[in-house]
Amino acid sequence: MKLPAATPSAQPIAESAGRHRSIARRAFGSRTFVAGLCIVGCITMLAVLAPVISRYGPNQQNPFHTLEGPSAAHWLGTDDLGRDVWSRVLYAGRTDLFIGFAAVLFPLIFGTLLGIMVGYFGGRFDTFTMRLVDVIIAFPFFVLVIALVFIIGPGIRGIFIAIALTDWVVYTRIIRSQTLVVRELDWVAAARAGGLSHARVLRRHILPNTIPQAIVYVMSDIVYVLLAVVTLGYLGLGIQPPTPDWGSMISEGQSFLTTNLWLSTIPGVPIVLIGLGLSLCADGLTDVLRPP
Amino acid sequence: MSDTWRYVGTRLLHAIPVVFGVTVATFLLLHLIPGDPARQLVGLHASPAAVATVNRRLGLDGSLLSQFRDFLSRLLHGDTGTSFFYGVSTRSLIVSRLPVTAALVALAALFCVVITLPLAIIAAVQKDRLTDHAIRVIPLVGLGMPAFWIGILFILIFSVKLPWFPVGGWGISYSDHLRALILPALTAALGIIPLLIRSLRAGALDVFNADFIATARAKGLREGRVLFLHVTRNALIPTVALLGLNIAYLIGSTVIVERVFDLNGLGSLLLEAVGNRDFPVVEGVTLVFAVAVVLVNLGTDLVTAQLDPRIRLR
Amino acid sequence: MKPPALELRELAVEFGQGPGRFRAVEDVSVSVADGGTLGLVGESGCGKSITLRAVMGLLPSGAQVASGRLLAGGSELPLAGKGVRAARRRRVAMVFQDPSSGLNPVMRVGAQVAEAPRTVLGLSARRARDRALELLAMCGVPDPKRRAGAFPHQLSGGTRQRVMIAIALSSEPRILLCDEPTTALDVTIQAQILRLLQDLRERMGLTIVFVTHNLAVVGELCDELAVMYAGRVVETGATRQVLDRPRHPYTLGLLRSAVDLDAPVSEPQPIPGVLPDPLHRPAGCAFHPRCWLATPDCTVTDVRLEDVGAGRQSACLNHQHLADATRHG
Repeated sequence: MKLPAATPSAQPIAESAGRHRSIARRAFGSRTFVAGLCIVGCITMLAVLAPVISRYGPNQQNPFHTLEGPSAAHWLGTDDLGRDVWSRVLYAGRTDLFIGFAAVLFPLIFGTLLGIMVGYFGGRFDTFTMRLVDVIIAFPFFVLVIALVFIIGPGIRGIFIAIALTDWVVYTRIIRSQTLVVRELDWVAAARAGGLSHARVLRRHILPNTIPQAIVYVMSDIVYVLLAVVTLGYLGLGIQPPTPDWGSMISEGQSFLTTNLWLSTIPGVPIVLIGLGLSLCADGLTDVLRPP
Repeated sequence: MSDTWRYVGTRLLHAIPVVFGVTVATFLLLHLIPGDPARQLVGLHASPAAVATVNRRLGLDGSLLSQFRDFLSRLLHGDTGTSFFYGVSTRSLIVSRLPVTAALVALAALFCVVITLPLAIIAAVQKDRLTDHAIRVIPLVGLGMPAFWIGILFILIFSVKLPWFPVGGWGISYSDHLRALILPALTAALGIIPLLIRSLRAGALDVFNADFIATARAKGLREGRVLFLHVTRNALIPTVALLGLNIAYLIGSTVIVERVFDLNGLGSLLLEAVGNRDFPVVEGVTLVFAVAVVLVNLGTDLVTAQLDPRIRLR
Repeated sequence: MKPPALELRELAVEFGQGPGRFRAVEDVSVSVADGGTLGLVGESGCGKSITLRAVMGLLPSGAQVASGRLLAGGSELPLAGKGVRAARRRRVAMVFQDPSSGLNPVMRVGAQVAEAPRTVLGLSARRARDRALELLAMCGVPDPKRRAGAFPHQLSGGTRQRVMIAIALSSEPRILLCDEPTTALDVTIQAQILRLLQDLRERMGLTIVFVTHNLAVVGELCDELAVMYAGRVVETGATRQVLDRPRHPYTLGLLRSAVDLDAPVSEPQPIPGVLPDPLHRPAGCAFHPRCWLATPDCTVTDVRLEDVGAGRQSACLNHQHLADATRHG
């Protein structure tokens, strides 16, 4: 599992959600964040509008126009089955980005909640969970995912389950360390002394103070998950044909590297751009959350 | 000197339960997750008897505990099963493919240090100037680059357009091997270099601004010597430590890199086994990978201790 | 007459850029006679460390010399630009404040002391090693041969500071700049280090500039004193005279606020008020908001250091008042 770079430290907050609104406002003041958001937004928009802007279906074959270069009729040319590359890139975006954004939800929610629980309550539950986390982190990420996909079977279902089983660990670690810090703060003790139940303290004090870290990490995590999705696609273990996917497009194009190099190179570009956009968002958010 | 041995001993002792944990985890992973490898092997329409036979051969019948007992006893005898597809012991397969992957990982790790350390130091020395900003772009752009795509680009540029490196394969002589490894190792290294640079830039800055560097300058040493000897030597420590944290990812990426460059290592063995539904091989290779990560982490811990006397000496 | 070992004229050091730019040090002129010891005293933040670093050519990034001249033994030393460090090689050395961060953690201390003799003085490896042992012994490091093979974190604070001094001496300087070398140490060790410095000064004929906020320390070691406040020198003179009969209210305030173990029991009296914000200096004398002697002209006149007789200087318009008061008090 790729470990994140330095995470920002949180500040003690007032109880209201007003602070979150102010974070949002400051985030939009950060040029880095806005730039990143624009990039991600543009590409997502293109992907979402795929059925509208593409001129051909993603699987529309045309045996008379195979392996053609870019032209007026086909902006990025055609592949070996005569399918329009530009349309396929757009539709692949729909699938890949959807999975990328959706597959992080379970690790985010589960990992965060688990992190808060073990950080707050500690004890044997905590020790056991962290041992489990250590063991999972010991596995090379791709080996683990491939082994899981081997058992469960390839395709979208396999991807979701594999990510759900492996990706939560980093969230748990981050949130747990943050919870340990927040737990010791004076106003938390005061809240407990004032008679607040554990559940209330967790919900209204611990959670709001730890969530920002998870949100920053989720930006990078979407990139990792997206990379996992397209890598599995490249290996033939991910999204199965005929559904287009950037990874499998690159794999199919590799045999034509000497003659039609764009088939393998073009589909990587949106991946890099999304990665760039999300990295900028993460950097911008980190700056905003850093204590003044 | 005895201090160092004590440190080595402690680290080894800590590694053992992790290896055990990883073994258990591999077993659970492959035997517990829903999915029917036996049925996938014989086909969806096979008879229950056929499936049962396969289950017995794979060792997937019987209670979970008895399966685990068998698994463990086999392991302790060095037997990781017999390949379904090839018919030979998985151990012999693993041993024959290990050198390629080991060489790949070693060269990739070397590339990581040799590329990241100078860039981080340059970024620190040129802080906030153009070079620094240029270096800081690398993590932004590089983090989202899929390893296999980078590999293909390399092949395109350095093997197809410029005939510097072979397109793939392993070659015959040792020098062939080395040439064949350079692009794959570079590809694997570039998978984590952006992350390393991002973290190390801060570390290099800390060293550069440290008091003892001012002492060195005050002595009258030339800036080149200060940078080379004092700054680099100290910045090497967090570089190796950071590499250690991320080496699991590096080792895992050999699976992809070996596929892209058509190398016969453990990674491609895993993929072949997955394609052939060769359960024992998948099990064996996964275990080897996990244990390898633990051992390599142990190795980087020891190297870090060797570099930093504050760790190994009291 | 021999030129002063070190002479600083009208040094000004600026920090930052644009609207945030300010002068941390302004119009500082001091000089030290050959073989003498100058103490540079003041509160934290008064600019004494910056002054010392400027003299050494080791200003932190973000700071630059705005104006000034530096002469060593009559010849000019550049304060900025390319030749800064080369000019100081073998002439000026510096002892830093914190020995725990001032030594390279991954290099044995013997090698660190031997490094300058090897590369700057050009000695052979063996002679450099011998020289290092000599220096360590000279600085009072017990069992130098064994200590030389140790790493910094294995040594005590006092020993580390002795190593730092040995390192400073290793490039055979004539002038030693000390930036609060005893502040990070225990009181008993402080005394030892001071005695060491005195000893070295006599044996090697060094000239020392000693920066500290501790008046007791300067009383022991220094011939002359320069008191700094808010980036300027406010008083200079022979140590005994300045401490017995200060000619600037700030110096008097410092004396009153220090705890003197030899004096009859009395309450230390802190100086009321706080240091001025360097971005918003008060007009006139920077000390006037906290000064009980302040008169209306203190708030407007741009005060400068002036000779007040007997080799002393003061930047107080009402210094005569102090002279009269302390003569009788």
